[in-house]
Amino acid sequence: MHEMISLYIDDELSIKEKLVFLDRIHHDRSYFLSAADFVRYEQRLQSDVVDDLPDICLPDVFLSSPGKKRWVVPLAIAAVIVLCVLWLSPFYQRMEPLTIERRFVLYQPGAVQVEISGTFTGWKPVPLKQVGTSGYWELNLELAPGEHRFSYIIEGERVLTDPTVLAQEHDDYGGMNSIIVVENKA
Amino acid sequence: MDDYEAFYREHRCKLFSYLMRMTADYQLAGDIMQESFTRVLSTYAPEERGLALLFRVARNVALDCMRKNRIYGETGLEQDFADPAGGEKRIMVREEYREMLNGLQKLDKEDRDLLALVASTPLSYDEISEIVGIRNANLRVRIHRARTRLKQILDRRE
Repeated sequence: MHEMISLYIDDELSIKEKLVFLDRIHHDRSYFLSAADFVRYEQRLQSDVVDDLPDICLPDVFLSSPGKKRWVVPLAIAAVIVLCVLWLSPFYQRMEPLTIERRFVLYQPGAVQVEISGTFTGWKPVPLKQVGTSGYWELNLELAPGEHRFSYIIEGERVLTDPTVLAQEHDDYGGMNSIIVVENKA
Repeated sequence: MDDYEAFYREHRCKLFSYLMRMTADYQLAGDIMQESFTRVLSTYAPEERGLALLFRVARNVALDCMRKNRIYGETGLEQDFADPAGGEKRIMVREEYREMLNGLQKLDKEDRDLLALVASTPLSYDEISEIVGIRNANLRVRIHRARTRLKQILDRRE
């Protein structure tokens, strides 16, 4: 019941809880005094008395400047024209394929669901298929050449890196991702 | 003002407040704030950036610093006391804030993190729950316990 005081302070009471809370503070003086006390402490906790925030230096690319933008539009137009020419040219159409097929395999006997999530799936989980009763799970995906990050998700909860891939890195969520580089071999 | 600068100006006060409550170290809070904004602005597209993401990144950086045993304790506010231009009321408010910071440092880091998040941001319990990885039903109990512990610490000092 006392945690309702924090829910009141943090605006997290449901309508039903609000009624219960109001009834309690109306009829129970000690509860009312306790709630008022917590609100006073919260007022102190939330007070901000740092008048000057420290100056931080964001990299120049994040800072706006009218002078820096003068070249952006003509460059963008030139880039679009070049891309259109390349796209339509016979030379470009004879060039290497845009995607490379990559097979992902993981050994997880006993699992009922294995998914993969990475830069090539928009970080949405995509299910792998079981290979008979072997305990292996696999999926073939078309990947664009370049560097990709991914991890496997077991039963919708446990996250695993690829045991066959050496390169790994921390993500911003306290987990780890495997890193692979897809190259054109044609 | 472009996207980057707007994002920075909109959220810097809240983020710095959170980091001061976590670290009680003006310099360190500034360093973590810089690292956090740089990571978010350089890694995520504008439509992906938001308050919850910024705080998730900042929290990870701050907890990493704690794991590496960075030194805390200097609030960096002493120099303000040397300048009485604000008058007596301003000095009293600052002293009260320093006591609150010291009280927060006596909590364990999980409790301090929860109180710093609720006090510094308009994030809902659901959003905080996703950031800290505690279910909402447990979160509401943990937050109130943290407030109770902080109150007991401050009551003992007065």
